[in-house]
Amino acid sequence: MSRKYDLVIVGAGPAGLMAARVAGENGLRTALLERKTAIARIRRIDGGILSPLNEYTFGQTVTFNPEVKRIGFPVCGFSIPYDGPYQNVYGFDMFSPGGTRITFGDREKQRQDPQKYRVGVSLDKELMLQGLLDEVEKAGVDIFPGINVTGIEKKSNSVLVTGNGEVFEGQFVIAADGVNSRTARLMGMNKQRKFFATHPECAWYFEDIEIPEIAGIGFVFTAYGNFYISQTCFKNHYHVGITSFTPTNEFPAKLNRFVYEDEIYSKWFKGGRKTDEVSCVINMLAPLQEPFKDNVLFIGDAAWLMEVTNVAAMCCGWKAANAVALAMIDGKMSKEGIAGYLEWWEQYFFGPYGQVEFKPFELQDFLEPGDIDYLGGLVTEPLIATMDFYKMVNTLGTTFGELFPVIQEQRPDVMERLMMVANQMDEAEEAAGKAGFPNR
Amino acid sequence: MVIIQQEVCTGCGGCIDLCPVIAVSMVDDRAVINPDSCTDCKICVKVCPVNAPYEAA
Ligand SMILES: Cc1cc2nc3c(=O)[nH]c(=O)nc-3n(C[C@H](O)[C@H](O)[C@H](O)COP(=O)(O)OP(=O)(O)OC[C@H]3O[C@@H](n4cnc5c(N)ncnc54)[C@H](O)[C@@H]3O)c2cc1C
Repeated sequence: MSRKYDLVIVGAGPAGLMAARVAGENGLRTALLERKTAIARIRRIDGGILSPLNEYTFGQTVTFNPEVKRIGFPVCGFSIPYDGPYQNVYGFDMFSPGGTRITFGDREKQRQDPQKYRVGVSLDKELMLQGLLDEVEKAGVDIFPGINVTGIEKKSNSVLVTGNGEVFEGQFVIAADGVNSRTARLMGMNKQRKFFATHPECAWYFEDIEIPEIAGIGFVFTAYGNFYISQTCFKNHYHVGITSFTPTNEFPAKLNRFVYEDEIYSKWFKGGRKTDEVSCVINMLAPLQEPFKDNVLFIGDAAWLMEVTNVAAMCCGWKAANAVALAMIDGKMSKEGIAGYLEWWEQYFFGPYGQVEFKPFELQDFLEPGDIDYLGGLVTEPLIATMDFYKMVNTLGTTFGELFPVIQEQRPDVMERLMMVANQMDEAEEAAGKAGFPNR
Repeated sequence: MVIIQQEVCTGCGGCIDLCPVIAVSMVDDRAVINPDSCTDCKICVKVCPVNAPYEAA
């Protein structure tokens, strides 16, 4: 016996929760299935940074007004509650093994007018999800925590979704089960997707540390690994993490070395308290150009290479549930019915960002620590303020492109190694692909 | 046979997502392997960022 719904949503992250709220508000009989038992609880790494503020990514931007305790989405036209701590975020920083630094955003100018110049705010993501979950409940959605979806198939005029021995039947399904989407795999969506790398991360939560240089995310390149430090919603609390583009068992040892022994950086963590440890594994598959098959619509991270961000995920949920509501009104229970979503996805996501060439490689495989110090020292003025990864990478590309003549003249040896990076990117990509687990 | 050390697991769910035979599930915020479905492929051992799964004799 199956339970019958207009819409079944798999996954209660920001994308699935927003889809559920909008579906409920539109009067759709909706089921929300989530494998976690405590839906708002986060055990997978998330920096909790709400961005983009004062800029656009995927055509979207957000506003945050702590006085009315709401986050606004002026492009899509909705808002969500947020009543909790926050800190302003001003941009990225990059640190070399020896301590040179590249900064995105002019901190001094930004701090004079935070409203205008912040590019994000760090929030408590669990509180944000809880606020959204409360609204989903009010919208009359049937919420099923603890359902781990293990099967999905089209059956004549509907889709059957199974998990923990229960069957849910929907006219449409919205698959919002995140970056390693099992529903995408089960529906055969991954067969055609290019696989880039299996990308693990591990992060420690630290309290009572002061890192005045970082007001957003700081990336630290060392001779032995790539680290990041990200500002949380509480003063003097940070996440300190390590990343890689190949699976490895060296994370705990390397994090330990960075935090307690690194000659330059361990001083940041003196006297701090480690309060938790989190991690994640992301399988990087090329974004879906057409995220729809057999009345299943893939949204948010489930349809992307890696993270679309919380904001973009919510926008996807909002757009998707409205599209399904219109399809039901129009009586078009097919791809034609939700064409509005697919056009929107093409316009804001796949078209501008979906085919960006991504190369998983580690700088340290090509450059000496001293080279990275030298290059970091060349960029003395702040670059544009941004929390957008695509903009950051492009800006670095242009900045160093313009510096090539200087590097060639001052350090032809570094220039030679830089050229090697360009030549060997394809090999690095192939190596990362071989070490990973595409799991199609 | 692979076993996940509960006190090391952070509950990120990476192994659950990548297990090819859906043998791993989340119990009380931690990953647990169902020995009846596990095929001993060890992908979970390789991808775990904190080395929680280990091979028991
Ligand atoms: C290291 C890291 C740091 C990040 N930092 C930030 C940040 O600072 N700011 C930001 O905006 N974004 C950040 N992100 C990205 C952000 O986490 C994602 O873009 C966002 O959560 C995507 O939302 P989603 O709803 O699409 O997927 P998810 O949030 O991944 O939600 C998917 C949900 O589906 C559930 N699920 C999965 N499989 C099943 C199944 N088979 N059955 C039932 N339920 C299932 C999961 O438990 C989960 O609740 C970060 C991501 C990573 C990896």
